[in-house]
Amino acid sequence: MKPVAFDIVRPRTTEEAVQLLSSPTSGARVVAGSQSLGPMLNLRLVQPQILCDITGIEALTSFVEEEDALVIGASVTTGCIEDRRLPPNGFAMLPDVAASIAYKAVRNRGTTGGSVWHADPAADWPSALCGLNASCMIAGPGGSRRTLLISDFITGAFENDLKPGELLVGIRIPRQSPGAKWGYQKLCRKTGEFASAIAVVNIDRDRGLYRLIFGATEGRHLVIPDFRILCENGRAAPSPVAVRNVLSEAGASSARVSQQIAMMQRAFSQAGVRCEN
Amino acid sequence: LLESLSSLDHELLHRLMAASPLNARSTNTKVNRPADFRNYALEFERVHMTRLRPSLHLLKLINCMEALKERRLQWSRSSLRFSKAAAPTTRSWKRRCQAALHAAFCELARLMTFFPDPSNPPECRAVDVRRPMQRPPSIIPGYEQANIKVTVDGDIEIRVGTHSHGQGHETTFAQIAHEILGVNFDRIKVIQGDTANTPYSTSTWGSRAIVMGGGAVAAASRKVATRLLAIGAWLLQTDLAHVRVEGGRTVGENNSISFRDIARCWYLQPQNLPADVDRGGLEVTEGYRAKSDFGTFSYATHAATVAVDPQTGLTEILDYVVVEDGGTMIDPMIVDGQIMGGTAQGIGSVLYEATPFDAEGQPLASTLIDYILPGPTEVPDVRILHMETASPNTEFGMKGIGEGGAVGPPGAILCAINDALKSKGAEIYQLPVTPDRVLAALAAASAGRAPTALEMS
Repeated sequence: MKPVAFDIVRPRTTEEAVQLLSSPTSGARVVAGSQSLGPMLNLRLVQPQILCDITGIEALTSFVEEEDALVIGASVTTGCIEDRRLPPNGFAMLPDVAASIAYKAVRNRGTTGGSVWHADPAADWPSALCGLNASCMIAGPGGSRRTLLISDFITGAFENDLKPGELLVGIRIPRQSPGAKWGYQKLCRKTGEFASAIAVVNIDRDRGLYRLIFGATEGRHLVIPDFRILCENGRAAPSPVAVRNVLSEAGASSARVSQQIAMMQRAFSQAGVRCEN
Repeated sequence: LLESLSSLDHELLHRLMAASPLNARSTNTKVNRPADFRNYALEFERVHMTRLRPSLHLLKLINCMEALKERRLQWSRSSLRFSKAAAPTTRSWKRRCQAALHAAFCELARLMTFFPDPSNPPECRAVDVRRPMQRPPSIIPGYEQANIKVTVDGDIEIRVGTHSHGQGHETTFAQIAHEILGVNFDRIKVIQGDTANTPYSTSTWGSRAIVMGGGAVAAASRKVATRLLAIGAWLLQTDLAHVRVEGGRTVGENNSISFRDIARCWYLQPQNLPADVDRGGLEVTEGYRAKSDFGTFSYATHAATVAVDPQTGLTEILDYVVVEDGGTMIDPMIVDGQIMGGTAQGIGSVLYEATPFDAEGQPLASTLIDYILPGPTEVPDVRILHMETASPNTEFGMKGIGEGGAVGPPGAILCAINDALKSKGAEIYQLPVTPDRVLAALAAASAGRAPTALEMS
């Protein structure tokens, strides 16, 4: 349970980090909170020559509030969000999700960006932020920038769309309108464990969002961009039968389907929308 | 619980006896050598799984089957454990066992508020208690030694081969020495489990440490007390018949001398010692054997109320009560801790802990990320009620408390889960009871079939 020998480099700016990551010979790997990478290093699932610690880059550790969105720096910790150090209006779901992740010690170190980058289907942030229709902000070589929806950024379980030399610098989360309703529910066998089922609901009529996301899936999380296609007889929530089919087609076992539907029903109930049994 | 008691029926026991491959032999000839219990366990499982309604209380403790097969008096179950006290006659012992069970059961029923009228508890079905046909094999046989030394400054050093891995022997063994010698607790040092320093021992297992190790500490304390009395009486210039040990001193009729002064005399002023002084000095190693080899552990009854979510398969423990008879409690706080910790372990085995392997033999739970242990939010506030029936076979009437907590939860919780699932026609008898197994059993039941081995794997 010891990692291979590696060096740590602590760049002060995004440009420095990108330069290091762009070098094909550096063998560098980005680290922030180290809550996923740490165990992977110890199990030698990853054997980097250099760890590029991005927590020294000030720009990545802050919140930037825009008129209709919030940009969370990639190194902002989950604990920071849990402690409500972010603007209050339109982002109520974030502290709620943060508080339910693992344990306080993990939250104090683990970062939002790291969780999204890692793209573990059972992790909370990829599903929750996808439910909010958030985007990833990516810096590349030569000062290039691009933005990608999380649903496009995460390409599979533990897989993302980042190219060599690129760095995830922040996550842009659209502000929910005042009338928006949301629900976030997950099933854990034990407090703080990885979830075995996750359902996220975001109903924002003003912005035309009717998103339903299932996490803790076999592959990447399951995105239903407009759940109204699964609603029957003019109901406000999807029919469990229709959802069952979608989940089964996605390869979920019958036990998992039952748990996911239970989480969905609870998420809708949390959002104040009745969901039939 | 009622159901579990009705499963105490004779039929089950008789059928198990009949199913024993050794049964024919044991009725015709004496079984003198240790039996091969593996066949028996297999047979038990076969009978258990196919012919009888699963009586899950019996599932966990195959060793109780060993006892049954040998027609031993003592028998134990995952939820009900009996220690054989003495067996003067079949009838009186049987009556005592039944009375004790009944008392524990009534208390439990009251605590769990199963029966609103405490003055009218339900009848406890008869327990099959038999007199041994022959001398049964020992459970906790043999001897244990302790070494006690009075140091030059009058402190006590205890050396024992048992080892505490969380049971608090450092505290309880010192309490036992204090009980006999009266030396202040903070001046008693316990050195344990080190073959370079302590008597050899098979150490701590089978709820034996307090009875055997503690018993040896008591025996050694008594022996060193006789030396302290002899030297003390000489120094007090009084007759040995007129001195006693009290509060870390040898006390005469109207004067006393501290162990410290006695030790100083022994170690530093030997010219002042009596001519016939015991040359073993102020250090003794003494052995102990309990009056019974057949187990001197506690018996316990566990009851659980659980909620099973049919949608997620998750089990939540709503209430948990343990009624435990640990005999004389040396340290009630430590006894509570042992029961509580044991119960947490038992909850782990019934709901969480497993070491599965994949088809290629790769272990799937090689780290604590995959191997789930119950944490503070998974272990309920266990309610513990003590019944202190002193054992006639041990020092101070104490009984080993180590296992009574851990053995009960699988039976009690699994029965409670099955009671909850009964309305859906489902039943589980694989541990741990994972959400996936619950959901598979429910799905199979709604399809009108038994769950397959694969579904339960």
